[in-house]
Amino acid sequence: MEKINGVSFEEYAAACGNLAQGMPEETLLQILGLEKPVWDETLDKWNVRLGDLMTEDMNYATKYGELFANPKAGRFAGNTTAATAEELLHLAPDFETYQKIFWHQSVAAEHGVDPVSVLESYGIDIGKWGVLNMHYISYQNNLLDHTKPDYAEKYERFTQVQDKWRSHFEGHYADQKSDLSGDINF
Amino acid sequence: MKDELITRWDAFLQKMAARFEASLLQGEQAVLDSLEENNYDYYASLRTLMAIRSQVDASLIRKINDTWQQQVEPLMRADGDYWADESFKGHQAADDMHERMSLWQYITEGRLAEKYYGHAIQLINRDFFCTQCNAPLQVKKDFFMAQYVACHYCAAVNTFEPETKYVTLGWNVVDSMSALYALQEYGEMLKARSLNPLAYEQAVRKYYEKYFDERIKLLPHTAHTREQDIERKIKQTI
Amino acid sequence: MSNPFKKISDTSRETAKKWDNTRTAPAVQTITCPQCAAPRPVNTNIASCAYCGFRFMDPSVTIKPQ
Repeated sequence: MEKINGVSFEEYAAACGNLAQGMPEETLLQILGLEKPVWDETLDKWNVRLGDLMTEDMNYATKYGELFANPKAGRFAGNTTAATAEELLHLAPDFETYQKIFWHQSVAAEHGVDPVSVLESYGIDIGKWGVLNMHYISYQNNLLDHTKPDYAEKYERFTQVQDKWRSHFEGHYADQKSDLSGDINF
Repeated sequence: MKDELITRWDAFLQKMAARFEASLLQGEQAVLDSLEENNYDYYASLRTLMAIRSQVDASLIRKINDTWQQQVEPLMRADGDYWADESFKGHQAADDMHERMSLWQYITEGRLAEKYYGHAIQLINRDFFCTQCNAPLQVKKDFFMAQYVACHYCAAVNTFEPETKYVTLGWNVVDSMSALYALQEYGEMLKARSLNPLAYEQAVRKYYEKYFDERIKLLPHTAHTREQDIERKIKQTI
Repeated sequence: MSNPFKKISDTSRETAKKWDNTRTAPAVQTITCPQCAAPRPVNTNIASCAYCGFRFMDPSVTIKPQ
């Protein structure tokens, strides 16, 4: 695939992943041998091209996601401090904990709370959350394999975990709710 | 019993519909007011908009279905067969609100973006000087990324980096404004969903032509990719 | 009558993350060659120094500001 200002598709995805995991922009510019106006143009053009690629073939979204979550491609190999899923699992060691964090930031957002601040309270930044999402989405897909014999049981347990944490955080933010129709009853 | 229950149900639905409309107006006002309150933090206001949508959904739209299931349906079922038509009324009311909510979001995002734009576009309205020879620099306007600016006096290439509030204009702000200015074509596109595929595609094309023409006014440097941009968006939509 | 959504906008403002890489003012700078101290003139490929060849950017980049 054609590069843009010397940056390949893989490096573009990895650059975004590294920035999301806190790599200073100065460092990124040094690794890719670019200056800010050139990087800005490169990012802009790759964002548009990714849209084109995904329209042709949705697999590009998956490819991008994988490269973003494990941002060691191209010139980033050996040049990144980004953490892998294995290194980050201590922040969400099991599916239940992941669901807890997921619903916390999701319900918080429904009440106006910045979900990034919620993630930070768990020691997680946007980049790390991306890595954990990739890991647990894959876990979830395996868990909910409808061709397996115990699918119904697993689906039931999965919905229970979701409902448990959603309800828990709706309770937690109950006093932030906007009561728009408490005075309207049947 | 039947008439009384239907009257009560109709009255409930009417009150909920009136409250819904009032809430949308208050919601838009809260979003627009939030920009001054948060010192023009676009994303904080956008999060406010999304949260308002969630609250309206939970407090009003979902309440219609919950009220039907928990209170109205048991009473009507026990009374006769007319409950099916009444159930449809409730679902229709909720569905209409969902559609209305989507449109509200589309318009309110556009108005939020427009207000933000009015404030942030002026951030660049000052003089900038060459760091080699101090001559005034002609910084390209309506361009929201870092840029090279050549000095007309000493020919040195300067790098100009705008502040984050200005850069933000080039991300979602101009897109939401363009969408708002193509509102009529958007409405036509939604209506065309029930027509034959060719008519729908034509409506989609009209929408994106308008959208990108508006966007090019705000982002002149994107004029040269107009056709590709339109085709890409049509493909993504259909 | 007070707006029922004011508390949402207050919450959003109060919980907004403060990002450290926010630029609060525009910046202008000129990069000069660390090898020969020359500025980079317009109409040259500023990826490398027009005078001594020092590489500012990756060799695959060509940028010629007008």
